[in-house]
Amino acid sequence: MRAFISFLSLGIVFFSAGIGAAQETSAAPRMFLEDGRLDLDAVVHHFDNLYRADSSIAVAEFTVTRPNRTRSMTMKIWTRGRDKALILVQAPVREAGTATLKVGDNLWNYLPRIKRTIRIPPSMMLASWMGSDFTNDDLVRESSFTDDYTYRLLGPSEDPPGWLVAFDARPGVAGLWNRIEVIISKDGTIPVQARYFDRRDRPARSMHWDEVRVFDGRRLPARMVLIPEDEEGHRTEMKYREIRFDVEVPEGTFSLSNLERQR
Amino acid sequence: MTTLRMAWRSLGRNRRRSLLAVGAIALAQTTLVLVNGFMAGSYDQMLHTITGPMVGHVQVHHPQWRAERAVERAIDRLDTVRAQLSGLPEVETVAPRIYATVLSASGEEGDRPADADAAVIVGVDPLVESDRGGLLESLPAHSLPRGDTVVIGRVLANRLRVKEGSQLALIGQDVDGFPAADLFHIEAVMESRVDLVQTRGVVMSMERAAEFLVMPDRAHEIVVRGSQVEHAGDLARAVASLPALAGLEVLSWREAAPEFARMIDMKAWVDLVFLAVVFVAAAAGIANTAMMSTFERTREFGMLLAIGSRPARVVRLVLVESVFLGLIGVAVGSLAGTGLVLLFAHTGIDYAALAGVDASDVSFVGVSISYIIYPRLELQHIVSGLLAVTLTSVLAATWPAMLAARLEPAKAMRP
Repeated sequence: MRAFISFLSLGIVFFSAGIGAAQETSAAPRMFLEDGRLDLDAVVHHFDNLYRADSSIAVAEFTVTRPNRTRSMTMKIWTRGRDKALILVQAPVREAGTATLKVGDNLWNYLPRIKRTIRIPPSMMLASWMGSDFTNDDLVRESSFTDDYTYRLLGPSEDPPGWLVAFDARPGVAGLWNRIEVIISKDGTIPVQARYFDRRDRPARSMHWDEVRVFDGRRLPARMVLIPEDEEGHRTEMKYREIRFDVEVPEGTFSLSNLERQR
Repeated sequence: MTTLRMAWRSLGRNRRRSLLAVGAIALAQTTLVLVNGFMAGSYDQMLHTITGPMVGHVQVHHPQWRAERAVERAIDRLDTVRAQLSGLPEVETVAPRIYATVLSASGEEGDRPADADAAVIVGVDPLVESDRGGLLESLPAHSLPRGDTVVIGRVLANRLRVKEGSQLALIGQDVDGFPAADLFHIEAVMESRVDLVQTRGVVMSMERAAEFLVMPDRAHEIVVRGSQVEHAGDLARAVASLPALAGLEVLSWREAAPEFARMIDMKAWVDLVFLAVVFVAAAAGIANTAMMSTFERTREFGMLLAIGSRPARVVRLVLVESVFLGLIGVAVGSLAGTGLVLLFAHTGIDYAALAGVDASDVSFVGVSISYIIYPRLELQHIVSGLLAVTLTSVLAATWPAMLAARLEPAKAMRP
């Protein structure tokens, strides 16, 4: 459950964070009840297994689009467990070495140009991450997200085709989103789209997953696109080039000293 | 002439009543002059503050700047635009500015990484801004930002735990969205009336800001000042018609800070309300006095009519009495009011202390305005009080006067 939701919140950037020990698709999961409706608990259980891994290393293209311009960066991402990640910009040369370290709820940025590491305090969590449409919060949210939402199946979805599942904020929880509507592929194995509604229940942004590929034995969407609702011409795209699961990632990877040693 | 003398004498016959009426009118006029003077003073102060460092008289932006405040919504060909603006005869200063939201943190090397906080780069022309009314007016010349040295707002400095002489790290995106980061040297920590500068501002030279953001020869805002704020509308039209500014948004301060312009416009109404109060106080005082003295003097009026006075003369007598009351009241009130305004204009009125607020200023449309008000005397307040009271005295005394004129001498003289 937790891993699945991390997929929705930020999972987004670190979604490889939970990707798991190849529970091969040979034993095709039973995703449907006898009346043909989606068995949501089974789906959630499936995602739980699907996105579980002790560690991963991924390479992705990160593209931020603004009304009059687009910029791309290549990033390498190391993860260990669900709460540790290191993201390193590898290209273009001008940005190479810029890095973000996440350990639990903590976030640090390293700027090679000024050779300084800056901690992002809780008050800055809603600020943009690397000038993208993601916020710092998206990177750390996972750890506190799980307990805040309940889920229920709303029924089949037409456009895009799949199943519509609603995640509702539990009453009394002061979170960012009031509701998240997720569309899951027809076979119940891949997320397709998520729409985020803010505290006043207005649509705030949407996430789209596509280009399903097999990464290291796992069938996953290679591309995810985040589109904010109220800002025309804004979008952020993350496209995985490769992901390896359960590779050796030493604990020391996720230290401040290593953060500054990446150039 | 005899009417005037008679009226004067009549007033003297019941001094206490006359003095009370005069007192009521005088008090009303004093209040009117003082309150309106206070209002005029506080609006002056607001206008001065608002059209001073932040908004100026006229502003120029990229048409989308105010809606988005996105760093790429900038004015191009700044040098050309600036040259044309400076060429206008009515223009006094031209202050281009660059704004960009960034993350800031202490750049001092410590044991632990410093915490980041939101800041706003304010790129300015230090020479222009150190002039009267500029953003850096209060700064000594040797502290002006140049090169890698910056001046930051007091609140930001406290939050980042940095001080003069510290290094400051700024992290953001350039105009193309690529990460940008640099270290700066804090030359001074400043107090600013402009909230943005005080709480978030990192003020640096235009050139340095343009270099950080990779936007040479561009600016987000140009603040133009003419000789007089009253002519801002004309100045805006002159600026808008410059060929180099075609397609840009040109706003007078009224359009740039409409909430404030509305408040200024409301002042006329507030003045009117106080005038109405004086009007009513005067009317009540005079009507009462005239009425009482008419009824008391029924026999006297009867006698006057009996010995051949025309009713019109009785009417004049009563009217002149009340006009006397009114004029004396206004004169006393105007003197007292003027005296008080002049006194307070010298010492200032600490509005916060009066209101029991423990603060020295109030923030409005992003600029803090001092609570200490220096009232200003406006002749029109005295004149309008004078006219209002004279008019009221005539109106309020009309009815008693008519009553007196219509008396039947035989009946009126009967005890």
